Amino acid sequence: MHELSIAQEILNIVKNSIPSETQKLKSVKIRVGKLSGILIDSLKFCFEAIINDTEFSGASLDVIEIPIKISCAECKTDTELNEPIFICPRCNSFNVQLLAGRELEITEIEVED
Amino acid sequence: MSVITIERKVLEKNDVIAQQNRNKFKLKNRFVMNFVSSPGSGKTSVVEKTIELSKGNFRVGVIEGDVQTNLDAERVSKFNVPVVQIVTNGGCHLEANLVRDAYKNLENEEFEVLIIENVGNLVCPSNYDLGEDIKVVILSTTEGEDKPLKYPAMFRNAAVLIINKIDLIPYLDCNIEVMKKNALAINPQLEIFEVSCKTGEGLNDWINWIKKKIEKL
Repeated sequence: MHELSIAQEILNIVKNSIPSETQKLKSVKIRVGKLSGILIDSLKFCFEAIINDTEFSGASLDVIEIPIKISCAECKTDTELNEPIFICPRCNSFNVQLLAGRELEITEIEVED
Repeated sequence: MSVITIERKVLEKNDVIAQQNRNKFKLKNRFVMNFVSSPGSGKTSVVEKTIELSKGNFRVGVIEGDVQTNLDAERVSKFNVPVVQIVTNGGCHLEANLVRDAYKNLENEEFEVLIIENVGNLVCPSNYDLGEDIKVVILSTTEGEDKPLKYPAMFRNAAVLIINKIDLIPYLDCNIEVMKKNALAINPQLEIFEVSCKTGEGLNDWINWIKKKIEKL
């Protein structure tokens, strides 16, 4: 539901990261965790909408989806989860730490020289 | 073509302000709770009951967040406690800067517990740190026992789950044991309170829990 404001934040950070105004933005790479509550299709749609008719028009938003990963304190195993049920699939322990899945980060941008 | 590495959190601006808020709350030794839930679960009723039962135990300040209207602030102000309304005008969640601005009007009032009532929404508020000590998720029995599984981010990030409207259980198909089991599968550390704001059942345990939290501050 808040993908539009997330897209706006991404664009703000990108604007401040382009070295020279004359360089055209080609793509923005972001990492989105499966537990971040972001709908990727909706985010892409919003990003496209806000760059339309601006100097960034045509730039792509490349999303790397990060799976949920937990570490079990009992059997010391790291596992990727398909569903966000925080129980170690190996030993059924609840004593697990979330290693990945909450990401919402910009990793890099690509600009024309 | 050149690639520029950025490695920045999208919500870093919000996170920075949230940390400033947290520091301000700490200065006054305030215990700050962010109330989150779907619309109609009884967030404002829990706020009202918490204020009502706080008399003689602790003092409460409230920041009310709503998409539209200041009806909730009006409800809360009847209790004669400091309250500020934030109207997001369509925004689906509160952000740290809105809380920062609202808190300016409360900072010099006398209270130990600050309740921030977020916009009714189980998705978006989970992304936005406001500077609170804990998130309290409120879920009513009428919403069904599957909600923790459907909105895992919110339940994973909360410290407390208040199950409201337990007086309605005889009339519903809701199995509260399954609801709790689902919530604990997402977050085994959740502190769970079963309450009815209508009958008052279970609310004393909740108030005692807050009292213990403040004593530790």
